[in-house]
Amino acid sequence: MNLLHFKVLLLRSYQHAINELIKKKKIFLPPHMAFGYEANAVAINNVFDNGDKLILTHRNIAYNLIFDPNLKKYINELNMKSNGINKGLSGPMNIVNPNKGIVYTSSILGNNFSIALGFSVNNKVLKKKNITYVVTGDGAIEEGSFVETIILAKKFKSRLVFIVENNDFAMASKTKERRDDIDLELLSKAYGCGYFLLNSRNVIDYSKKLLIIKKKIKKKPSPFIVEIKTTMFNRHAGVTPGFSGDLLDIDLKKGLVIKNNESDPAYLSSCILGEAIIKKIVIKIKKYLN
Amino acid sequence: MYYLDEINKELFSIVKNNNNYIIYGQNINTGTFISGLTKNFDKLNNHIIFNTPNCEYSLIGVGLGIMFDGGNVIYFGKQLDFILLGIDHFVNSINFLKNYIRDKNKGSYTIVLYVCDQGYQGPQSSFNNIDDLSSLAQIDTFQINTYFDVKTVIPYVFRKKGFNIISISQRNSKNIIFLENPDSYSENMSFVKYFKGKDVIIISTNFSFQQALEIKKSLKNSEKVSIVNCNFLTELSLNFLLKNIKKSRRVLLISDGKSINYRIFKLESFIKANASSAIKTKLLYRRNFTWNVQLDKLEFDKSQLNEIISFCEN
Repeated sequence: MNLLHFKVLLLRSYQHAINELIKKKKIFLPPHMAFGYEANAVAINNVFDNGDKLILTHRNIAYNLIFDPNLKKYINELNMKSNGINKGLSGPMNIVNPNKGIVYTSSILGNNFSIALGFSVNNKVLKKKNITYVVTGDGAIEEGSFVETIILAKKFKSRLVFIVENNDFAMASKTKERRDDIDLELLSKAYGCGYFLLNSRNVIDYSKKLLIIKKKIKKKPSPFIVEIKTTMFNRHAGVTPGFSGDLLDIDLKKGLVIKNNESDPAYLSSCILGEAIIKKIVIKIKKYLN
Repeated sequence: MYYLDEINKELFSIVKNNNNYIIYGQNINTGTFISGLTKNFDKLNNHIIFNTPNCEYSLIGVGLGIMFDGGNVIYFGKQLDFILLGIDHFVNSINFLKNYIRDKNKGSYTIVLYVCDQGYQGPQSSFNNIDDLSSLAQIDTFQINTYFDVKTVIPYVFRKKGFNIISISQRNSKNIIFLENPDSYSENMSFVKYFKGKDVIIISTNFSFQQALEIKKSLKNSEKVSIVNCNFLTELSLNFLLKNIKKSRRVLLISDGKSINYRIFKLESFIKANASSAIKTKLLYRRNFTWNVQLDKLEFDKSQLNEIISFCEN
């Protein structure tokens, strides 16, 4: 179990490495960073079976790096090199890795729901019990395609799990600046699909809950919404206009950036693993950068 | 033999004899059966058929997901303008397909739809030109005009991998279908040539085949006129076109679209650049489109008609 906590910290260190390279202008196409999202990606990776499918968004770094921890290949992709994950053709917002189950990634809000459902429907037709996970955020669920896809997923009785990373931020605004609250639990109930809220930032707890969902929908196919409250450290890729402090405050010289409270999944992982492990991880990533 | 009946029979026969398809759409096995297009689909018991809710954006996307995953899928869309609700997929998702999915891994996805071109149904009738859609992601599109299209082009499209659109003209639904076999056609069905005449070639696009036929019949030198129907521009069989216009003196190009984006412009520029300069070309398209009188068949006044006849006969 400690391995999952270790992966949370390792994933953070990978993001640090990329962040340092962005600051040194050694990355041509900066990705949307995901400091604070690590437990989500590690937990899904942990319950992911061979044949399952994962569909991502523009903020895909945490998932791509945990499903295929080849940092060099990922960095090469950001630098449009032919030895990148997608031979340098993707750009940071559309990276896929079909061999690892990441079959589609879209930079367009709401574009990926129905494509994910297509993968899920095909699985069903082929009589496979595999699960399709589609990652989204509190901004993209405002798109009409979210509800459309829930209606269709119900119709097709598909094993589609919506992972809603609710970071209270989209298109450079907080939720309250855009709309009233959406009660996803009530919405799920209205459309007859399952719902879980993950709020602990504890990767072990997340894994356990996702295993329960997996068991449920393998037995009785149905769409499921998993809302994960996520604290975002940085708003955008690199320095965001209007948010000049983004990323620049995150500095590997100070060690791994870990908030001193439970809003950060790395906080719990660091408490469990201890200072010595963190130091080893920092040394390793600094060595890599050098 | 009526246009829509023949299309329906062919589609039914294809899906009946192949239960590998996932088939879905609105009212496809109930209600109006999309105005008769999918008549009898309710009798296909062993097939995977879904009558769906009204979620066009997502319906377009679901087919793409199935195809990316290697499946074979048909979406019966009610009409061309409904597809506009999913236009993001044409720019983003289909171009993803072009980058990442190798031919051997991908399945097939065909959207079959009506073009709402009766000319009196309101604003949606302003969108009758499939080229506007196909140019977004350079999609192969096939417009069904003749019996040959029904019996040969439709099965050809369903055998193809990747994403294709078959469009059907609603205004031709109750018309008697043109039955004659073509003289020749290109391997990828981008061109189908009817008749053997060599002096004048009429190139018809979109749903203007019937109009090309009327022009041919009205000419004194009718037996020296051929019609080449062009389906799409994405992977044109240009050699086929050049070979067939080589011995002609005149090429008349027609589109009945209401767009400013005409296939015939590109075809004409290609002919001018690659064929003999002795070949004269003339374009027939809608120059003054009145939005409140949405005629879908091109109308010509007497002087325009004389101009066309004079171009073809001299």
